[in-house]
Amino acid sequence: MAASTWHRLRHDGAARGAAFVLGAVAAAALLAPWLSPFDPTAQPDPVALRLLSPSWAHLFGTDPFSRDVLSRVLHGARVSLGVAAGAMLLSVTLGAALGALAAVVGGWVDAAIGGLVDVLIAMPRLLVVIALVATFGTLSPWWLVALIGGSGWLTTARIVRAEFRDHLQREYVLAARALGATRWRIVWRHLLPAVAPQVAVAAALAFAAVIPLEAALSFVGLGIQPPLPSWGNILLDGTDYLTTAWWLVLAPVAAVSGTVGAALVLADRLRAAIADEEREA
Amino acid sequence: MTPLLSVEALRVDVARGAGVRILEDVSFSLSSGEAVGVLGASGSGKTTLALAMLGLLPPTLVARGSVHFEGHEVLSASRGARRAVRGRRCSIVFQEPLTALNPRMRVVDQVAEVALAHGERDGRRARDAAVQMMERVGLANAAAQAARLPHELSGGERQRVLLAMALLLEPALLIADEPTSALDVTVQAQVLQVLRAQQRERGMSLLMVSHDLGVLAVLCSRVLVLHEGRLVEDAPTRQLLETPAHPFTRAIVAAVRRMERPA
Repeated sequence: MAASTWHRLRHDGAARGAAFVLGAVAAAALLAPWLSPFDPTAQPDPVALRLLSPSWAHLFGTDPFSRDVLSRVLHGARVSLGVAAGAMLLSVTLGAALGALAAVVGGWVDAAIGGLVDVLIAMPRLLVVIALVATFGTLSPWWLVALIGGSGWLTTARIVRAEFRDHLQREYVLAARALGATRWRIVWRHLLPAVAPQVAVAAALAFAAVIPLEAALSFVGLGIQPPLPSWGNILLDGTDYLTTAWWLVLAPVAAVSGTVGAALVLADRLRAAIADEEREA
Repeated sequence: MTPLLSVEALRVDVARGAGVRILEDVSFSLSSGEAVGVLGASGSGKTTLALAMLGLLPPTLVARGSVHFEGHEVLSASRGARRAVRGRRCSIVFQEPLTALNPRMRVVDQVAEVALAHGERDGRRARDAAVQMMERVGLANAAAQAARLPHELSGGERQRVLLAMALLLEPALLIADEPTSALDVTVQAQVLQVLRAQQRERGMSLLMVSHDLGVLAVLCSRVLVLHEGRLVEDAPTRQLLETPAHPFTRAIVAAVRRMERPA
């Protein structure tokens, strides 16, 4: 019996490892208030306790304001992962919906969505978001989700449109129509499940792209505003002291690269599982 | 008595291919409970005819004339009206059972889907009905086979799944487009048996499209011969076999005779 894509993925060591990393980061974010040894925003003694090197009391040291870096990174995970997950969900949902609409309705709707994708894909995303932030002033995390998510649906839309068009030509879709299924029923019951693995790859890649994007925005001071910690602004706080207190950037860099790396591995293994299944089918 | 299906002066053209005609002035009718065969070589327009009966022609083809089914005009009906008929009053079985099934959906769900598409809300009841129908069309061990994916079944089993889908809602007319030509001969005979049983028991009408006169002769009391898009003959099966009128039919009948009585 040939296994489905999802079944293959569950038995893939690398994919399980990546899922474990992502699960651990998510758990750390959810449990941050209980896991953190200190208040992430408290500045107990900005003179005596500033820029301490790692110790048992402060595993990743303290920052220039005497705040515990570990506590800040744990709390920062809530903001960074929250923004990334929200933006990913928004962009994937938007992309799947618009891609499906273009493929199923066709005609001028297809042309309009295709044109929009072509125009937007030519714009560098980071610069567009920076320009918008500069125009509207500083943004709440919700606005960040809307901006990043609203600009990230292009790839998903392209993939879903292409896959849908391929499936719409297949005989089983004609057979389903011949027995009375409506177009939208076919979309819901046959086409969306068929493209779900590809959409999941796009989602993992979107997630992997959003984490550094949020970090980059916060790093240049346009994203999450202090004292609310995010991985990007913790990194920003540390860069001034790279030569004297290098440990400040250790935890945020590890968090960003670990999370992005895990998401990329998961996307890659998922793609391999899809390819395997298609080869066998 | 008004016929169940009547086709009058049906013409099908390629939408933008100036003068490319696939069906030319096809007229016939089919009464309730009757089994009629459509005989034709590949490219003669058989499948186009079958799809036109359901109002399922691709947008690249344009149909003119009239297809009347159960008192309603199919060609000019709204999309919703045509959809409501398909699978419920008039069903179709396709030739290639592997490509006509979704490779990633359990077969029971695909059969149940027909009921769900026509307003059944209860998924469990739809699946129960699906398993029952799969048993009735002779799928061995239907309850266990139900949870399988199409590629885990044999060609004959898959064709029975397609039959179960087509027959689930007990349509008045079943169109079968080469339903047995992808199967080996013993399985072919079994599938024909199922079709005959369904047709006789329920008084269902059958419009069977094939290039194989032998297959049509088993089930159909009347055969239409389609040659290059035109209906060249419409005769009771026996008469067609004994005194074929059109040269094309004569050639086919002679070929079948030669195979039956090798020199």
